[in-house]
Amino acid sequence: MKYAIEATALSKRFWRKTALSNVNLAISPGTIFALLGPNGAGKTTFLKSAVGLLRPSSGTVSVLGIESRLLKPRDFNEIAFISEQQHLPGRMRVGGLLRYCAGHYSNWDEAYSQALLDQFQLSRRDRIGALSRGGKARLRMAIAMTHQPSLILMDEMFSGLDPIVRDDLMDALIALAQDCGCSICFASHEMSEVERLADKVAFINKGRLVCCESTERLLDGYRVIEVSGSPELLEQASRYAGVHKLAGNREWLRFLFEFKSTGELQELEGRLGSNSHVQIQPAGLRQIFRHLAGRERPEVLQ
Amino acid sequence: MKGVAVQIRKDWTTLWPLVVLWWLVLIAATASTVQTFIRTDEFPETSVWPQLTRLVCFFAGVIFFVQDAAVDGRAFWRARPIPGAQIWVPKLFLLFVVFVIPGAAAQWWLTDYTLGYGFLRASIVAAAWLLMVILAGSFLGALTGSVVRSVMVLVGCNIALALLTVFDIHPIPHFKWSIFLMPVLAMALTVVSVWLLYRYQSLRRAIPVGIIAALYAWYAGFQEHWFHSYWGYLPQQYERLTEAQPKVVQPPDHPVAVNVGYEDDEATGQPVVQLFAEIQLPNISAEELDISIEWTRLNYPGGIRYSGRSDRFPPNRPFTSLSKALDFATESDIDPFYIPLVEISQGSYDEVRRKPGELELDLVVKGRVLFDTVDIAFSENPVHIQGKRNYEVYAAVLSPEIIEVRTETNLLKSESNLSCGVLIYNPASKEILVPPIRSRSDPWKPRAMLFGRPVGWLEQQTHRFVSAAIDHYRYRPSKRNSLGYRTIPGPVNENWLTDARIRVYVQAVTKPVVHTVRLTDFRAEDWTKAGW
Repeated sequence: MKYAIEATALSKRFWRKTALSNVNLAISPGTIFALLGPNGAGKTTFLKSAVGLLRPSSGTVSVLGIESRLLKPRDFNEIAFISEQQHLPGRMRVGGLLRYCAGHYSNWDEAYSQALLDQFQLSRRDRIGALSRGGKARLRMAIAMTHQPSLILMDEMFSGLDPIVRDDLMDALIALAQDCGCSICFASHEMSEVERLADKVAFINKGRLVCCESTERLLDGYRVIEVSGSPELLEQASRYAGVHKLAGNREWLRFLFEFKSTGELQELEGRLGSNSHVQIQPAGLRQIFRHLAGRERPEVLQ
Repeated sequence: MKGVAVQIRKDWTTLWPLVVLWWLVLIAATASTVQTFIRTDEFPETSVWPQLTRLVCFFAGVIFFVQDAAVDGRAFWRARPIPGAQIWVPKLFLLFVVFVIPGAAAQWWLTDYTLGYGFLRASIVAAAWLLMVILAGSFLGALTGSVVRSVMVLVGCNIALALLTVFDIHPIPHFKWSIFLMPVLAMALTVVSVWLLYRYQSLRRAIPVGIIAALYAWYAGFQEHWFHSYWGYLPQQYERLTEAQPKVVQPPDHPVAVNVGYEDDEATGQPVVQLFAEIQLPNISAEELDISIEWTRLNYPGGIRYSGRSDRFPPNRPFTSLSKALDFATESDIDPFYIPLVEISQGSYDEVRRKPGELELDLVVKGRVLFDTVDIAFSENPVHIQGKRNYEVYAAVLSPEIIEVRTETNLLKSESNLSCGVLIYNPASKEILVPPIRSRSDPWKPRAMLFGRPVGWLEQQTHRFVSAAIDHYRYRPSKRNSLGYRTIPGPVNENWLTDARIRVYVQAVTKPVVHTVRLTDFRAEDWTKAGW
């Protein structure tokens, strides 16, 4: 099977710092894939390695079946890489940059380009240097989408954008994925967009792949449980396997419970017994993210 | 082709403000040089324009390539279906067309206007220089991806150069470093670029960049050598001459020390002083003559000794140290009228004539010979000619046909040793008398020049009028030069000479002085040697 992205024992070191360590990852075609992780975890390094901007120290990463080191310019007709760090020629106008791109992309769709400009409320006469951050993000997205690539890689594209711009971009991405069946792999800190967009989530921490699950399964494997009862009971509950304390005092306890099967959840409910008041809620990605990053921060006791 | 066209169109949007700036600087630099030339009849000795033009070119290269850097993954073209060649070739083409060609054209026009050369070589040299500067900026921009980092590298290189000079107590041992400094820096950039590309990207991309960078490194070294630049030329010549033991000789038929000095009443009024040393250089071919003095030791009568070293590194002004010695002599109480004259020249005239044009030029500036140390001992009985407006003219430059010139004021004396250039011209007929010059090999080569500051500018400052006339005579004999003069080979009649002027060029301590003499009572036919 030809994966959209396939990393095999991928490692990347910068001097003595290990940015990626033995990452094995496969992203199926048509998947919207989110890379999660704290700052400096290795998400950007992974994406840059995938498109050949960085050379792996060891291991390989392939995109659309082509090893990243062997990617040729023409291969980028089918691959789009968007990053907020990418320079845009500020002295050009939007129309000029689109003409420039049209001269290089073999599959450039001029009509679709105009439709995207209209959708993103960009004018061809706008000077790029004068565009806002959101405007530039829209322009990057328009350029990436116009040639309807098979794979889009995005690095922190949504950070710092207002909700309206984020929604616009996400809507466009979802539409493109549905229409063309393209694969999308994006690194992000924005949990709301991950929950809304991603079919599958990988979590990277300190260069290592911590987990890789479908979004649905990941969310299904965690619950936020709030228990109130005797101090002894709360003390006992906090020691159960899979329990990660979030907040509490002598009268109540809130924790994140990680489980493999529904049986484990039922077992926990049974252990807590009828002497306590138990409230079970679905966990959010933010709470799971904090847990996986090892940065649970106990809430202020009340 | 489509990709190239859109690339040029994109680049132009970034480049045009720099182009406007460049053209303004170019026009200002050219106008300034011409204005100075018209006012003083000389090229400006010091000017900010050459430095400014180089800086503008350098930063144009940096700014132009920063946005499409080769290593930096943030460049727009990276991870797009755009080959690197489609980025860099149009960029270099555009830089060449809008920066290098106008610069070379301006130089051509400037050279033609001021010197009357009208010769392509000056513009080729200018183009080569500009290309080297622009390519250096382009490489830095492409490698660093940042103007600030490029400036830091530039500053670092200059600091390295400064340190090399500061710690160079005696420059000779470090000459090898200075020869290879620019090529070594270029090679270092090459290695770093290949390493960066290999480490962060792929060997496939690193190899072509490495080849291009290595070619540039070679070009920088070649350029340094080919155009006799400040850093490359003298040391290399020194390498060839170190084994030749210079030997100062005193010809038996005339005293070593001869006084030469006069107040120029038309130009600066500065006293003109020259030092000549008759020196034999065994086993050195005529082509190796063009070298500088490094150390000089003057041994005055009575045991007084003065050692001088050129204050420039490497010393490209042959007489700097000697002029210091002169200052010492004239300011001290040794003898206010004792101004030694030392002539440096090559021994065999036949040998000198092997490359007439080039060597004539060298001889006129006293033949620049590089020595580690020159010991010059002066005669106990120097010739004192205080107050005499008398100096010697050796007209070998203009061939034997005019070596004897008499005037009623006895201002010029013939049959003397070569010491300076002389030109006979007729302002009424606008003609310059240039006797036929026999050239076996190359014609006279104008030296490299960049916006009024030629490499070897001293020679051209001193002899530009003569040189221009010779050059004009060689290349465009039938046309008038930019001053409206036409060269004629002679012979001329008495009437022509009656209206003629002699222009004599004498090497000054710091700048050339032009002295014009009106010829009267000149007998062209039935003349005898001057009795003086």
